Amino acid sequence: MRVGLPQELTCIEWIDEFKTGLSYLIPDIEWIHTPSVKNRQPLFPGTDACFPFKKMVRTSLNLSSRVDLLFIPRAVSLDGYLMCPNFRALPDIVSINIKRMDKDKTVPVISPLMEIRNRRQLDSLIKKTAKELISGYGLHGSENISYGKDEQNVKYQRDISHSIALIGHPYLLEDKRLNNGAPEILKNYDLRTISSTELPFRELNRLSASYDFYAKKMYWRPGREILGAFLYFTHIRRPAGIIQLVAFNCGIEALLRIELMSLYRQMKNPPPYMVIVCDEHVQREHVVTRIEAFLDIINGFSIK
Amino acid sequence: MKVTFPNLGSMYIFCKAIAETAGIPYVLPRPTSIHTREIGEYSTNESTCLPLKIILGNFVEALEDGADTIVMIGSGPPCRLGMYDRIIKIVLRDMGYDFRWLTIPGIFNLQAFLQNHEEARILRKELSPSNYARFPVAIITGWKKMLWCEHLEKVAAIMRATAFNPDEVDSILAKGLNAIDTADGIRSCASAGSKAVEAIRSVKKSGKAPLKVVMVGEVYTVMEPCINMDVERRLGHLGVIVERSSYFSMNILRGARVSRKVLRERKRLLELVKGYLQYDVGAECNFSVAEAVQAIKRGYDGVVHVYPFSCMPETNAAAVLSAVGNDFNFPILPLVIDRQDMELRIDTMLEAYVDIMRWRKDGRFL
Repeated sequence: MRVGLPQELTCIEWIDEFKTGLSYLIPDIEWIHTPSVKNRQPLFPGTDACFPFKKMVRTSLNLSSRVDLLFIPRAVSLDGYLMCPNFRALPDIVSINIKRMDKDKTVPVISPLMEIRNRRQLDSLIKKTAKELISGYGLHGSENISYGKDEQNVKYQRDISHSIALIGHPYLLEDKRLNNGAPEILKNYDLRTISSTELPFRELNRLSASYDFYAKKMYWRPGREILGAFLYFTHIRRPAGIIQLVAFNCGIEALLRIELMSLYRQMKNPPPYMVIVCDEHVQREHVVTRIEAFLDIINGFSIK
Repeated sequence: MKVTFPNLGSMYIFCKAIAETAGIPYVLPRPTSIHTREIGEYSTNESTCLPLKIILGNFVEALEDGADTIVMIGSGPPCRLGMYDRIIKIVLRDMGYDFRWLTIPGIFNLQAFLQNHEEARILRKELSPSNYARFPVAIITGWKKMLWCEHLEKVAAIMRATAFNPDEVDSILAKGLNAIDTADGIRSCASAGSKAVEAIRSVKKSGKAPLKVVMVGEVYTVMEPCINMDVERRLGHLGVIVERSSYFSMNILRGARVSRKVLRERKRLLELVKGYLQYDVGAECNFSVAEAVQAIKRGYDGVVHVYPFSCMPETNAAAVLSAVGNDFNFPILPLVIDRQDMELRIDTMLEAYVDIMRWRKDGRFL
């Protein structure tokens, strides 16, 4: 059975693990993530939603004609912290637009509710979803959940003093279209990068908790992730420079940018820091120009 | 201590009444202007929602006018409103202002009480026993004044659409709100309110059948005319009765979660939208869609959806409302509000929208 899961969602650690767990329990699943270039669907107007959200919907609509089932988890909270409201609405927006595209031909959308605090809760959700898929769609599977989980990535322990740190949403850091190719441009300059996705959330959460004011806890998980990464790269291990990749119109990052900029102003001798707002523009020249200028600043710092 | 608060429609009358009756010195925020918005825009970024920019501008102006204590309405997640206090405090401190802050919780529960305990503790020291003693009466006076203001605005919305001269209604409404604002006590407030209602009801009518629409969307944008480009008044002048989805009193009751009637209504609205949204997206998203569906079923002529650019819950509501309009073959006008330099665009859109509604009503349009 071919099951579609938009590639942008697989960048989110918990959703990727959800997929892995399901694959272990139901080996019959053939996952399809990338949209077909040949099979272009009409663009989802998406009002003024952020670019990643629009791309997720567009990928889902593209996948819908090539799969037997769409798997779009409703990520409400991960690690006990909230995701942005767009993730709550994503499965519904996809379903509505699939119906609007072709009323006669619809593909079922499975959207298990993800309110995950720990590994145990994810395991039980995987089992529950697998059961539904097996009984509802006649798939063959096992009850064994004991699949091997990779050890926590320890790559981040390497020397990063000459690397550029990239911080932002995981899907923005990993999807070339969403990040306007910024990491690739850095690689072309023979620069090593380290991204916030390489750091364990536990560590990022601990750091961001130090900025939880008495009543004002940062309740978004992506907010804690980005704030934590910024603090990590400015206070714990210093890279050559920090680039924050921001999705145009991302509500969480709009506020976080203000807070990070304020924190940055208060720091003594911080590493160079730049924000790149990524949007739907297809040309990369403006990103190249900004990165070149940023690298000049970094070189200036190292000469000094 | 000089308290200030953000501008939100006629909410300033409510806040002012409480402060005056309880004997707490206050600074009224200046009426929201282009300058107010520009202060907010200058200190934030392009993706920050308009209400934050305006509220920030309100506070800067009030602090310049001598206020030293900010009282802000809070909210819960997942909307950005819940983070406003954290971010606005950071910006104001970076701008060099010295102030104290108190957040009124969006939901009145134990957690909200505990969270605000620390902030309230500092402010309590500056209040005298006389302030405390007068506080219950102050709340009642403020509440009554607010209810009268809302009632007057509702009557004005109906009469503006049917009046021979809608400007006359606007003028009486402004005078009426002023009379309620300056009324000394609950009785004189009721007298001022009923006189204003009477005056509005007695204006000469045009005799034309009005259209009726519901204005749904993000609370702040629905309630504050300076933000929504005065859509309610503009539509009224085109012969359209506008029924707002949000009033300040309703939001307080929803937040308080003590009224069973309000809770039942909330549940009913969430059920109404199940065909489109399976889960509560947050803030007013599901209510915006539900109230639109309800308006269609109740035979309204249209729905106007107003929300600030980049509002996370309302962008989803807009996507769903586009499908709702399609399914019911019903005119829904989305108005994304950001900068204020587009009055003519708003006028053109509203005029075209009213034409569509009239043609539909007259059977001249599908």
